[in-house]
Amino acid sequence: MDPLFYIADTLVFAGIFALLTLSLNLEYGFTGLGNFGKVAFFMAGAYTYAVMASAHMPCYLCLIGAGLAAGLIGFLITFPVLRLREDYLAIVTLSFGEILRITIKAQEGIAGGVQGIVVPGAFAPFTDSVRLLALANIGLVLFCLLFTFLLVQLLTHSPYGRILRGIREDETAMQAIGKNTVIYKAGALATGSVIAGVAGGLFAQYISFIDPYMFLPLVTFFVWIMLILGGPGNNWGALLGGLTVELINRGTRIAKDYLSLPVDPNNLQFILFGMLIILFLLYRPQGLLPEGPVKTAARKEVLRWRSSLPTGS
Amino acid sequence: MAKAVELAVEEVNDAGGVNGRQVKLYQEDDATDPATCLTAIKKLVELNDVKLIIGSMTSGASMTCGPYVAERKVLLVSPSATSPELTGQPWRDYYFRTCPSDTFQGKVMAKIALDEGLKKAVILAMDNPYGTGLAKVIESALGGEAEVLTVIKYDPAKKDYLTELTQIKNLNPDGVFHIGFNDDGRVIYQQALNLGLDKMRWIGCDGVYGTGMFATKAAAEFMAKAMVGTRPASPEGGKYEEFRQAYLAKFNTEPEVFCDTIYDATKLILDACAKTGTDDPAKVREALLSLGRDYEGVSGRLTFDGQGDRISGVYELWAVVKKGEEYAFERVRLIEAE
Repeated sequence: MDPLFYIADTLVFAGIFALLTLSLNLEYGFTGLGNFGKVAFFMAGAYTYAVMASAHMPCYLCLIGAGLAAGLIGFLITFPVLRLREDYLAIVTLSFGEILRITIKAQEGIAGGVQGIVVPGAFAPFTDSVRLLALANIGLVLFCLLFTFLLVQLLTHSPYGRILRGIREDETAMQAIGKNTVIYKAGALATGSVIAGVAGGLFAQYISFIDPYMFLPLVTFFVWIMLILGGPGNNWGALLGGLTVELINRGTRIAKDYLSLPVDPNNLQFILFGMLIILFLLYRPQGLLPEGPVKTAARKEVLRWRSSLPTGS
Repeated sequence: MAKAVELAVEEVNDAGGVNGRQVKLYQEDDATDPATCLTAIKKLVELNDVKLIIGSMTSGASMTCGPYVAERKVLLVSPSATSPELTGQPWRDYYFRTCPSDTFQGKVMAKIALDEGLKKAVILAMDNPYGTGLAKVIESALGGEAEVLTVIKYDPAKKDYLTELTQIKNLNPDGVFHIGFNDDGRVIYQQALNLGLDKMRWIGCDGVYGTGMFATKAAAEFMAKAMVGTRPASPEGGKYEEFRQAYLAKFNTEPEVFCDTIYDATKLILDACAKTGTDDPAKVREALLSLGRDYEGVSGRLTFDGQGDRISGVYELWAVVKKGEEYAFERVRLIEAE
């Protein structure tokens, strides 16, 4: 017994799901794109990582590959899709997730089909110590999470982020002031997909075996729950949402050892999530942490930077 | 299935427990999802200090949990992960199975076909690990003695199989191996009867066994005309009957599939603890390997090979007979698979 391992495991899972929530936040929270196919990009990342790692490539290359593959798919798929209205976007992305899953399931040649594929651990060749392994896994996930958080935070608090919010509030107005909204939306979706892909790669590495049954649309809905609870449009909220849901998830399991509940604890968890979603949407639609103002630099400061530039033209 | 474990633990505790201590049973739901199962097992091991676990229920979950239990040196005994893919994995030291691998059923199905002198066969299999795993075994067990014209995989959630069945009709084989479940099986057999595919021999598996098949009259008629099949046989009488009576008395329902193997898994673990006088997984593991030689369990005689796979299984060859207006499954004979 070593509860530290369990805490480590919780942190890794919460970190991976926080990554997914951050990516959905960029797409939905800031840009207003209802992506209901999150699991597709998560899956694309996981499988890319698995295939590359099976070919004995180093972990960092696999992770980059996972992100790029998911990003590329995100970029390609969203181009025809972005011209659709919001609800159609949701339907198309949702079905795309299923198409990708069923394709991988049916094609044994890609990655084992229904039998799944074993993913070599990234750190296993370097150490036998279970403690070091756990530490390395946490380190890797938290590093990716920190990096992504800073990236998304900077992106959304830049003029670029302001345009994304503008598209969310009133797309026609943004077009009227000369912004090519399709390019911006595709950019947001591609970036979100890269993040989801990296999360998928981390997941595959940590779990060490993946099969198509692990990537049901339920995963997408979990990410949505995390974002709605945490607060769409707030990156801290996305982190908090990911952690909260993971804790509820595990908490119900642990609680049943001490309480005798009238319902099965695993069903209780779903009842709890359903109630939370309804209550939040009714009484606190902005989530635990509401969206704050855009923190771009003040105009005066920007003018001062600009005048200090050597070219001066 | 969990009920069978409760029964076994209760019996042992009523008889004074193991090594003078009562057995405490923790239960977690693995939702048949590999990631959920891993989380659940980590919770048991790291928070509840559990060292001996009965699980995982599915082969996929075994693939995620196997490496972890080997790392943490806790024992995992699965009553129901039947995939042949689990054989020979590098993490097998702390992982046992009390159910026979599908390899045996596949061999038995192939043997039936060869005994009947079939020359050209089609394999119709569900596209899931169970279906594709069995299909692979059948194909290699036929070993060229009968030709496999094609392997057709289908999605068991479909409501119509005319495409697949027409393909079979055009290939015109002597026999069809079908690996499916009840829900898809009913539709397939009904449509196969309409297409006149009842003239060839159909060989089914444990998935299409069950009185649920008779809910569709046409499917029952088709099975009576064309089908035989296999399933892991619960040995008649003796220990199984004792177990069944105890189960009936406690829960007032018949034991389901895998209840016998999970009961055996529980009893074997507890016997191994009693034998070594400890619950240290490394020692229990050794004891399991030596206890698991011709062990008389409720699921029949059980022997483990060196890596903890059950090395033989007894299978029943079944057929469907019509008695008056009713249909019923009938045991043709028992086949021992090696």
